[in-house]
Amino acid sequence: MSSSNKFRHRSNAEEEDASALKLGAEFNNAGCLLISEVKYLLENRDKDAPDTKVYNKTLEYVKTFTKFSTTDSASAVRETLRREPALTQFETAQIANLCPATADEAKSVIPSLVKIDDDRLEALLRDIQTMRKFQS
Amino acid sequence: MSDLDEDTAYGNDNSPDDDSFSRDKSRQQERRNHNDSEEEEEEDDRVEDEEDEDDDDESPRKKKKRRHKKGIAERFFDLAAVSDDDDDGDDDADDDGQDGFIDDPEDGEDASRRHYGHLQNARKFDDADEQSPEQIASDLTRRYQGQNTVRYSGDMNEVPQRLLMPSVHDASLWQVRVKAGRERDLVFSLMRKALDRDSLPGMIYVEARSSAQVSQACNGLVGVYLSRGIQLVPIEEMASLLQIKKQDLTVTPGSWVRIKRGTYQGDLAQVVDITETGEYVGVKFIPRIDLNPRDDGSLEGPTGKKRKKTNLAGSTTTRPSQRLFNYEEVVGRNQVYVFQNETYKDGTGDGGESAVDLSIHRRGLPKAAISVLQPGDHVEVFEGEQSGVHGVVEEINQDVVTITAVGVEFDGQKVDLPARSVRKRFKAGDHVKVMTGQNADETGLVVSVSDNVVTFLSDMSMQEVSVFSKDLREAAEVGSGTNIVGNYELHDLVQLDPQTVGVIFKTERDSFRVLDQNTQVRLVQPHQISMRRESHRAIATDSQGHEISQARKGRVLHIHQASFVFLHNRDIVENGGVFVTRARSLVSVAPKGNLTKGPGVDLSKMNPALATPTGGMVGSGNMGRGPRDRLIGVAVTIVKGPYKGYVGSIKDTNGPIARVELHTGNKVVAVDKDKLRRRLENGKLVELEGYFSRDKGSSFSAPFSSNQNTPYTSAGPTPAGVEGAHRHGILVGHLRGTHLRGRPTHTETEKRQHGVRASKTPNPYAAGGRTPAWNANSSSSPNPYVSADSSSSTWGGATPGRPAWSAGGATPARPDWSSSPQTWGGDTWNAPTPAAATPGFIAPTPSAATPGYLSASTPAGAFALPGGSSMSAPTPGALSAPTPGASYSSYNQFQMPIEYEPPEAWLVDPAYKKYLTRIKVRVQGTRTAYPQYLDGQYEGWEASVVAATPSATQFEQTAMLTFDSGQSRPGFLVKYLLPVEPRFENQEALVLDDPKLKGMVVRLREAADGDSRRPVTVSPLKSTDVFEVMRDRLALLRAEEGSR
Amino acid sequence: MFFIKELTHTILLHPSYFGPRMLSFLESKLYADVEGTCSGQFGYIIAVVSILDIGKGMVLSGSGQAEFITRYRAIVFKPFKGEVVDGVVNNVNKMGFFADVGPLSVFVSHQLIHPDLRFDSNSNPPSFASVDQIIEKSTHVRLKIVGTRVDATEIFAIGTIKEDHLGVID
Repeated sequence: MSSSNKFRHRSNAEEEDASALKLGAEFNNAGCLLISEVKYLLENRDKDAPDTKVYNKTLEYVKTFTKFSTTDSASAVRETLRREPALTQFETAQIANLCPATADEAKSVIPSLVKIDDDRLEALLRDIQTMRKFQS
Repeated sequence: MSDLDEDTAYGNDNSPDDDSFSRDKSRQQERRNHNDSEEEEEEDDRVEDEEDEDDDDESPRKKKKRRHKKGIAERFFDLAAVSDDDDDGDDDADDDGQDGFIDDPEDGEDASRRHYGHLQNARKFDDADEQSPEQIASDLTRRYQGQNTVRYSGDMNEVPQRLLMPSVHDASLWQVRVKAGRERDLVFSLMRKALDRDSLPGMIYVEARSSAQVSQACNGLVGVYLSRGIQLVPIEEMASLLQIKKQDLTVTPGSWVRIKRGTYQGDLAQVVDITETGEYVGVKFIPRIDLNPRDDGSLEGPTGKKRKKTNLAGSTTTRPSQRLFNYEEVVGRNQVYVFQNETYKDGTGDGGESAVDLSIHRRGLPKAAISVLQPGDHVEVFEGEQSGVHGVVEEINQDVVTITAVGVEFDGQKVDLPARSVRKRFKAGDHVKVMTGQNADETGLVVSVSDNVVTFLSDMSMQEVSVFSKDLREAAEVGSGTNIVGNYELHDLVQLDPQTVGVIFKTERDSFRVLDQNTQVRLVQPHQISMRRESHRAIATDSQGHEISQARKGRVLHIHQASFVFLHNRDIVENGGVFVTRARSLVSVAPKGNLTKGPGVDLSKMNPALATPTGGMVGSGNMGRGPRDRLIGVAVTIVKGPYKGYVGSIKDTNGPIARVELHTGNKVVAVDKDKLRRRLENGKLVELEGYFSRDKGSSFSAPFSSNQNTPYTSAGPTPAGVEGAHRHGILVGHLRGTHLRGRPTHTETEKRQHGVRASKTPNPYAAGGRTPAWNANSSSSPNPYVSADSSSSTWGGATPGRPAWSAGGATPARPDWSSSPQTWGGDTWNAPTPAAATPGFIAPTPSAATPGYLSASTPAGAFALPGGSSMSAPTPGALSAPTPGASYSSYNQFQMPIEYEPPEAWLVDPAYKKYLTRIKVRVQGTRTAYPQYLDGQYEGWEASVVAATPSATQFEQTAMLTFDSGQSRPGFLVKYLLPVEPRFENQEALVLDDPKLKGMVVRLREAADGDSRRPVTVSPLKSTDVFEVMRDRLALLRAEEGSR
Repeated sequence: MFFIKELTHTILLHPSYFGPRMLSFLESKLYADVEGTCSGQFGYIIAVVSILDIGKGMVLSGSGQAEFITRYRAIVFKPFKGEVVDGVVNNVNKMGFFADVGPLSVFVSHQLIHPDLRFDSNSNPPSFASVDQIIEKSTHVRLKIVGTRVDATEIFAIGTIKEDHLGVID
C-alpha cells in the first residue's frame, strides 16, 4: 500500500468546485435533474425497483426534498429558468432544488450566480416561489 | 568538494587532457621526480590542484604537474607527506586514491603491466624499513630510469567522463579486512595500489587484477585479516565508493548545533545569530552554571550575591548540570546578564561561540519542510517578501522551490522561493494523508485549518485528528499504509472465538476488519483476537468438476475446517477483495490435466492429523468443538531463558508464544515456543513441534479397550508404514472394544474423543506419504453414526472397508463411489474383506503396509459377522449400507461430493415416526438384488408410506405402502426404499440426518438445483430460522391432508 | 446533484446464454450490474432510465464469451465540492453530525457548525442546540459540501453549515 504510485496528486486534474461551476470533464455539460424530476422518474419506472440501498435512500431523499409535486410545475420551473440564458444546467437545478427566497440567499448558496443581476434574479426567484405556492 | 559529483570527481582525478599511455608515462616520470624528493614542488602542486581543474590553457608544465598530482606514484608521496605533516587533509589522500584507482577503459593491458610494477613496488616498500633512504632513492631511480621518454602528447580534453568509469577491463577493486584503526598505516605499508577510506573502519581497498595478487601484496602485514576474505567490489560500486562526500556545513539561524569544545562540549544549542564574517555565531543553550563554585579567587558576580562560575577551575570539578538560569538567583542588569564573560538571556545561555566549535546537529523545521515538499503540493509562503502568496509547487531544486502563484496579484506567475519559507497549505475538504509522526498513514478529510495545525476527520476511525501541516500530504488513497497491527497482518487467518475464524482484510490504525467464516464483517481490536491460525497445511477438496455456483475467481488465502475457504481477488472491491465460500462450491482453476495427473492432491497433506492447528477439524468440524492448538496441555520443560529448567504445561498458544503454567508456584508465564521442549513421560525431552503427541493419543485411547494401547504405544519407533499397519489394528480394536462392551450408543463426549483422537493421532503416513486422510477419519467418522441408531455394529463393520477404498487414493476411488448408489446396493460387497480393496491399499504404502492392513481388516471383518447382532441379515445389502455411510461422514468433513444414503432401516427410525405417513419413498435396488425382489416390478416407483413399525431386530423391516399409481402393498422391505428428495420451493421435507434438525419438518426456502449434494436452505416450520441441509438428507413429505 | 447521463457498461456473456432470451437477460444483467453502484468518476448510479443500445455481441476468441458494450441512460448522483444540498440528519455525536443526502453520507464536523450550536450531551436523542435551533436526528439541514472522498463503493463527504443561509431548514 505504500507504493508511491498511490499518491495521485489531484493538481494535474481540474479540481472540482461546484461554486466555480467546475464539475469535471464528465459533468460539465451533463444534464442536471431537479429533485422533483428524479422523483418522477423513479416513481414511474417501468421496471421493478431495484432493492439497493442506494436506490431506496435516494427515493426517500427525493420524496422528502421534492419542491414541485407535479411534472407540470417542475417543467414550468424549468421553463421559467430558461428565460435567463446565463444560467447553466447546474445553476438551474440548484435554484429549483434549493428554492432560495432572495437573491442574496441564492448568491450565497450558489456563488456562481454573481454573474446575474440582483433584480433579475429576484424576479426569477419570486416566480418560482409563486409556482411552488400554487402548484396543485 | 562539497557537492562533488562524479564529473568533478573524475575531472579532478584524471586530467582531462590525458591519454592513458602518456599519463602512465608521465606518472612514472613524476614518480621519479618524487623520488628526487622535491617536496616543495609537491606542495606547490597541491596548491594548484586546489584550483579549477578545467583550466586548459595552462602550460604543459603546469599540466604535467597537475597530472603529477594525480599520478599513482604520487600517492606514495601524499602519504609520505601525511606522515610528515599531519595537517594535510585526508581528502588529498582520497583524491589520490581515486586517481590511482580509475583507469581508462582502454588501457587494460597497460594497467596490468603497471600493476605488476606496483606490486613489486609494494613488496619493495615492505622491505623499505630495513633499507637506508639512500638505498631506496637509488632503487627508485634505477627502476624508473629511461622511462620518461614519452611525454604528454595530446589534448584529451573531450573524453567523456563516463568513459573514465571503471570497466571490466580495469583492475578490480578488492576489499580487505584489516584491523580497525590501522587502515592508514597498513595502506602506508602497502604503499601502492591500495587506498583506504577513512569513513570505513576496518577496511581498505586494493586495486588489483586478482585476489591472489592482493593477498600476495598484503601478505605479512600485521593487522590485515586476509582470513576474513578479500572481497571483490562490484564494478558499479567502484565509482561511488570513491566519491567523497563532504558535507558543507553552513550554520544558519535556527539550526541546531552541538558544541564541540569547552564546558558545553556535546551540549545541544540553537543558533540565534551569526556575525557578518561567519566566524562567530550566537547560540542558545541551557547553561551549566556552578552556582557554588569553589572559592579559588575568582571575582564576585555583579551583585555579589553569587559566585561566578569558573570554567578554568572546572578541570578538577565535575561539570555542573544543565539547568535554566534563574535570574532571581543572580540578579543582573538590563535584559542580558553577563556572567564571567558569558551572557545570559531569558534563562538560556547566549554564548558567542566560534563557528568552528560547532557542529550542526540537525536542521529544524525548515529542513523537514523541504524534504516533504513535492511537485503539485499546494504551499503558502509564510515568511519573507512574498509572505502570504500561495501556489502550487512546480519544481524543487534543492533549497529552491518554484511555485506557480495563485491569487490576484501573482496569478500564474512562477516564483522561486527558498523552500524553508513555504509551508503546505490545506483547506477544509482536502483529502490528506499523514506522512510522519504518531498518526502516520492516517488519512482523512480536512475539517479545519488554523495556522500550521490541520484538523482532519480520519477515514478510518471517524475521529478528528490534529497534525502539523508539514506532516500532511494530499492523497487520494484511503486507508492505512501499514498492513501490520500488533502481531497480525493483512490476510491472516485469526481466531475470533471458539466457533469463529476470520480473515483480516483491512488493517486500520489499531483495529482490523475481519471477514469471518459466516461472511460477516467485523471490526476487531487486536486483543479480541485469540490467536493467529496457520492454515498452510489445511486442505479441502473442491467440487471435483461440479459446476461452480460462485463465478468468482480468487486466490485461496486460508482454509478453515476443510469447508470454509477464504479467497482473495483484487478485482473485487468489497471487503478488500477477500471473500469466504465453501470449499465444495469451488473448482480449481488449475488446468484439468494437472488434476488428473498423479493423485490430484497430495494425500499426505490431506491427512487431518497433519494439518496441525486446523487438525482439530476432524473432531471439531463435526462435533462442534472449537479447534484448539494441539500443543495445549502438553507437558513441557523450558530449556532457555530465565525459566530454564522449569517444568510446566502449555495453557495456551499464540503464534510463537506459548503460555506455560509452571508446576512450581502455579505461575503462568509466556515463553517462546523454541524455548520449550516437550517432556515425555519418561522424562525425555523432545522437540515441541515435530513430535505429534503420541502420549496424548494414548491417553485418549485409554477409555477404550486396552488392547489398542499396546500396539499403539509400541508403534512408536517402528517405521511409518508399519506404524500405519498398527494403527489399523488399533482402530479396529477400538471399535470392537466399544462393541464388546455392548454400549448401544456413544455419549457425546466419547464421540468427541474419537474425533480428537483421530486428529491427534500421530500420523504414521507422514513419512510414507500419499496416505489417505480418510484413514484418520475412518476412526472417528463412523462413530457419530454409531450413536445414531441401532445399526452401530454395521457401521463399525464398515471401517475395514474404508481404508480399503481410501487407500487406493482418493481421486480414482471417488468416482466409483459417487457414480451410482445402486452399485452399492448390489452384492459387490459380499466379501467382508473385499479383495479389490487390498491392492488399492498396497499402492500407496507398498511393503510394510500390506500385512498391517490385512491384519487389521481381518479381525474387523470377522467382527462384523459375529458381532452384527443388529444387522437384520448379513446380506450384501448389509454391507452396502455402511459403506456409503462412511463416505457420508467423510463428506461431512471434507465436503466430498458423495451422496448420503440413509441407513437401511431408516424408515423405522423412531425420530421420523411422527411424520411417517407423510414420507414419500421410492423403490430402489430391487433389481440389483439377487434374486430380484418381487421381480423388480416396483423399481423406481414412488409411494407413500401407510405404516411401518420396527420389527424385532432379527427380522427384515417392512412397511406398508401406497404407490402413486394407487396400488397398495403391505410388507414391503424397507431396505429397498429410499426417501424422495424435495425439489421445489416451499415443499415440506423431513430432515433425515442433521445434528440439530434430525426428525424435524422443514420447508425449502429455494428450489433445489440438480445436484443432490448441494446444500439447500430450509426453515423449520413456524420458524424463520434458516439452515442449510444437504438435499440428499431430506425426505419429501406429502402435503398434509388438511392443506390439500 | 442528480444528473441524467449516458454511460456504457460491458457485459460478458457466456455462450450458454446465447439464444432467444439473450436480450432480456442482457437487460436484466445490466440493471443488476450497474444500479446502486458507485464510482469516483460518475458518482452513484441510482437507476437506469433507458437502454440506448444493448450492443453487438463480439465473441471473444479463447473464451467463447460474447462481449456486449451496452449504452444506457441513467440517473446518477454525484456530490461536488462547494455544492449546497439539503439533507436529513442521521446521527449526532459530539464530533458533529452525519446527514444523509440521498445515497451520500455527509459529515459535518463540530468545527464547521456555528459555535452557537453546542453539543448537548444530556439531550436524548443527542443534539446540537442553540437558543432557537436544534439539530438532532431527522432534522432537515442545508449544508455545503466542502470535500469528498471516493471509496470503491461509496462516496463520503464532509460539509459545513457555518456559512450564511446554511443550517436547519423547515
